[in-house]
Amino acid sequence: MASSKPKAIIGFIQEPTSLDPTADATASIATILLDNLYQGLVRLDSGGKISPSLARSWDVSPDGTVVTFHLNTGVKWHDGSPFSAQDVKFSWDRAADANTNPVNPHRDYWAPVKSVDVVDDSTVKVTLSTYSDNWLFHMGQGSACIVSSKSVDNNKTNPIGTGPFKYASWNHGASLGLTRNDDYWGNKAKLTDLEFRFFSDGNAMNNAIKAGDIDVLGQVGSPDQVAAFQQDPNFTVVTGAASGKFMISVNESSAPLNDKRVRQALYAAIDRKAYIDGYFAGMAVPIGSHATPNDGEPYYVDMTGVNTYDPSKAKQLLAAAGQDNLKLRLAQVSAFPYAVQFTDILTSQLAAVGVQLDVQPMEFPRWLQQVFSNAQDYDLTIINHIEERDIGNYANPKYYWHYDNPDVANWLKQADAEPDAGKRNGLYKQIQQQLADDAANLWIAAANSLGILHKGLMGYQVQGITPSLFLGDAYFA
Amino acid sequence: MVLQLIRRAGWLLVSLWLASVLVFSVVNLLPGDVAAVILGTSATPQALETLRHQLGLDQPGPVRYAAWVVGMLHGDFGTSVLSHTDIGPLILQKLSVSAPLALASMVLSLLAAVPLGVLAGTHHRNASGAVISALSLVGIAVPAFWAGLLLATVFAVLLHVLPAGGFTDWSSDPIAALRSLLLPAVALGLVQAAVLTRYIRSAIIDVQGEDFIRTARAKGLTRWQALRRHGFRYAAIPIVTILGIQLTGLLVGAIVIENVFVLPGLGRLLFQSVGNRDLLIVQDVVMLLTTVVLVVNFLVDLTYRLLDPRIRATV
Repeated sequence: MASSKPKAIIGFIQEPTSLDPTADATASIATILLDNLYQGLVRLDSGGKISPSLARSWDVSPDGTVVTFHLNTGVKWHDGSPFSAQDVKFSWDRAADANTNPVNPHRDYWAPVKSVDVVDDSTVKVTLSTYSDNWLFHMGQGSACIVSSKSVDNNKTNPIGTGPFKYASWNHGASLGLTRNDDYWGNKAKLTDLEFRFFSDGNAMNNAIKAGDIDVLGQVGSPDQVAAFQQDPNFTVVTGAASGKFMISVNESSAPLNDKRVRQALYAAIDRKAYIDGYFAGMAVPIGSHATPNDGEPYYVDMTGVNTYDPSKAKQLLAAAGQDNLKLRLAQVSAFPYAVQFTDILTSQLAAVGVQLDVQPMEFPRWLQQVFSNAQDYDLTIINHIEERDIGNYANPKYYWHYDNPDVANWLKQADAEPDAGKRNGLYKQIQQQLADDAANLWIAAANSLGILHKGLMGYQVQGITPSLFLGDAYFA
Repeated sequence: MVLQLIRRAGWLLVSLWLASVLVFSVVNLLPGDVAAVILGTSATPQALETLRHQLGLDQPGPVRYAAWVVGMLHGDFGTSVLSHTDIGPLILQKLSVSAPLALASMVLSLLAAVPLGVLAGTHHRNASGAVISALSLVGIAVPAFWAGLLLATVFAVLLHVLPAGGFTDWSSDPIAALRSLLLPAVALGLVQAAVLTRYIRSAIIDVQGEDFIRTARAKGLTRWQALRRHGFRYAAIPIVTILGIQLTGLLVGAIVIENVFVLPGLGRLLFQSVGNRDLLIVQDVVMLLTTVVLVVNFLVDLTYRLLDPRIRATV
């Protein structure tokens, strides 16, 4: 049967703030544009594994410090000019440079890179100061995508890439359109047009798919609504691997939260199941340290046994620490539905062990200022750390949770520089164990990625572990 | 009269200037900045500092204020630091959604409120008047967003006769564009109609007790004739005031309704830009709305003078 419908309309909550993923960390930019419009040398497949993209293969020198990429040939930019190894050097030198305007939000990804050299038109050699296991993984992220020196200055409004779709239109506040690139170097996309439509909340988006205005929910606003779609024969609910660290971050910079016993007491007061059933409708996996069970973080070890739900132990620990009458501030981003629902559950679980919460609702920009970057003035906050392989933040004592353990910092450095997977994962296991023992933060769950689609849309992969929602293989039966 | 006009116009300019200072100061007091939004949870202090410098956020307030005002006076509304879009054309594009929406809900509310209000006023001692009065109270109590959600559920999700949200551009399909504005305009107009009905009702009741109506009745006019010839014009003064005030409410209501129906209008632009700390857009949009409100008030003031000769004489 021929494809009956050439255009797919995908519902989204977060609208991109610009169209250049090398200039802005807003997640939806990469979700929509990476792998569809822009491409990197490598991409992450639906499970989180590193796979070829603009590079058809790569060799790593025995000591792990030289990576040679062999690029696909016959690749053209959307403006018709040919793609070559020079573009890779341009893009990565630009990303690593502190004076690039605007600065790349993930410039730290290039910290291990000594030089990027063009061997010939289709070969690039990258020399690292030391082996870095995370470096190649990060080259599959949006901020590492390859851009053309000719068009880069206009990418925010008129993006030029090498992918199976090219830019068509952007109606701010409403929709973003991509159209098929008929000169694509690889397997051409099956759909001729994509329209990403932006909604202010999950409710409006659910109404739109029920009314037939859109074909897919690219992001599911509230998992508790999924059950209704599962029972409806007109829809398919697809689930992917679990990702994202939904957690309660703890500010360890001062008393009483710098006392390990207090943090362990808070953790013992938490029943992860209440969040998984109450907010995720069961579609999440409990986690007990800063890693999630998917191929993106192959070092994951289940640490949920370290801090188990035990309210009486929580009370004992609080009494031992002399904190029978503990009152804590909770910074809550009120625009995040999970933060609002978690707050209710957390408030009652902590109240059960005699800890009172003073909830401070705020917008995300204020959270970034008050909690994250400047003042770091908070006790607890509910947040989903969405980025894969971000455990390295525990090596930075100035990061907003102020976790300071020189051993962990050392192990993290060793682990990233360890080419042997067995030894590396051993080190990461040790780190996860230590973080859980210290109750550095209160990790709750990793959510299964969800997509809701109209029956008939095939080849759709949910997004979660991958930074992108790749639609090159999607079609209507 | 001319001198009064010039004085009023002068005050309008002073108000606009004061408003610009106020808008700029308040908007720039918002906690958090666009650099932090761009860099998100991967920000390092150095990167934040570099980006703030690149975006000119480290320049002193008065310098940024002067650049903004001088730009606006030259018709240049600036460029969004986030998306690099020209703000002037962006606002114009959004106005093509918000202006028809505001106008349509105003017209709808007047179409409903004038006959209902007059009826409720002239029959305020009868059952029909009491029913209208009670219904209008319910209408005031219903929040516009709730009415919007209800309308979307009934007409889009259950009946599939109108879209649940979104907007088809005027240029691609004018009929579809109108269809996408229908439910939001009704939702927005409903509350207004209710408020307006109550004001018209009490204005009509008041005017019926006026001496000049009694005199007209004494001359042999029927109640309707007296109202039509002498009463409506007099009753119109408070109603024009309310319409002017409602316009402000309409603009605020549009922000909520545009978010419920995912309409890419000024309200949604404002809402998103505040969330992203794209402050130049916020300043421009708020300043535009302030200007509209101040100009409307100015016009309302002029209208009084046309409606009631006594105001012309005394002020």
